[in-house]
Amino acid sequence: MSATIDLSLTDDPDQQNDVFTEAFNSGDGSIFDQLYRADAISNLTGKTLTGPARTEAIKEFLATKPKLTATVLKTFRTADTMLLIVDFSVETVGPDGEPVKLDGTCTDVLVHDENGKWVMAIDRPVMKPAA
Amino acid sequence: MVSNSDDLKKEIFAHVEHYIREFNSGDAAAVDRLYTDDAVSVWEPGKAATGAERRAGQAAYLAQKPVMKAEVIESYVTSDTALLAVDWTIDIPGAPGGPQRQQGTGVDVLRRGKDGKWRFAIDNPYGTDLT
Repeated sequence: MSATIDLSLTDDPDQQNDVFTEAFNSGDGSIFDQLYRADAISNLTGKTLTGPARTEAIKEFLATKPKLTATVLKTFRTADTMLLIVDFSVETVGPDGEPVKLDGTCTDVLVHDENGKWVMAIDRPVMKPAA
Repeated sequence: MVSNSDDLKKEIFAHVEHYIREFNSGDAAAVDRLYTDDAVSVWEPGKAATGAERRAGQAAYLAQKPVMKAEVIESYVTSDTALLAVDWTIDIPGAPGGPQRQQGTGVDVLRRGKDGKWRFAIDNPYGTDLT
């Protein structure tokens, strides 16, 4: 069950990606949002949002049960800052309930929080041009 | 400060302009001060350099008197972390084999230090282009 997801992010980008994907696919935005800093900026819902507006929007979006698959392509990191480049695919539903598949590349910035734990600061998904 | 506020964006744009000025002056020490100590630069797609290797590479490159033009096309700025997408062109009129032009869309990460100054942490001029 979603309540048992371990949200700790290690230094391993593939582990981070697994946690991110599992939290996303839980459908519970309040769980997923715990991976983000309070002041983080997310573009996952198609708008640039931060703070409570970001949390609300992600809760609404994940409640529609979109399904994420993602692969880490590359990471660059310093002691306390990481840039992940990730290929992703989201299966969701359009405005009329029709299935929609969104493919793209996301750049994510993770930083150390005050306890030295990785936390999402910024995400920036870019959709691939429609085939 | 609220993420993505006008004040934060102004600071970041000022930092980028400062960087372009120092870069075009060819002053390697001044340019290096605009990076964190452990910054990562990715001057070839997918290949990262840090520390002494990054500094030496930067100094050798600046010695060719490259001229940079850059435009920030996207910016996401929290109180201490920023992600920028930047269209850039660099001309090297005096390159050994004749005039050279390089261009790309970078995806860069900046951090604000304890002294309040922004610095590049991940300098990634080819963005999500990894090959």
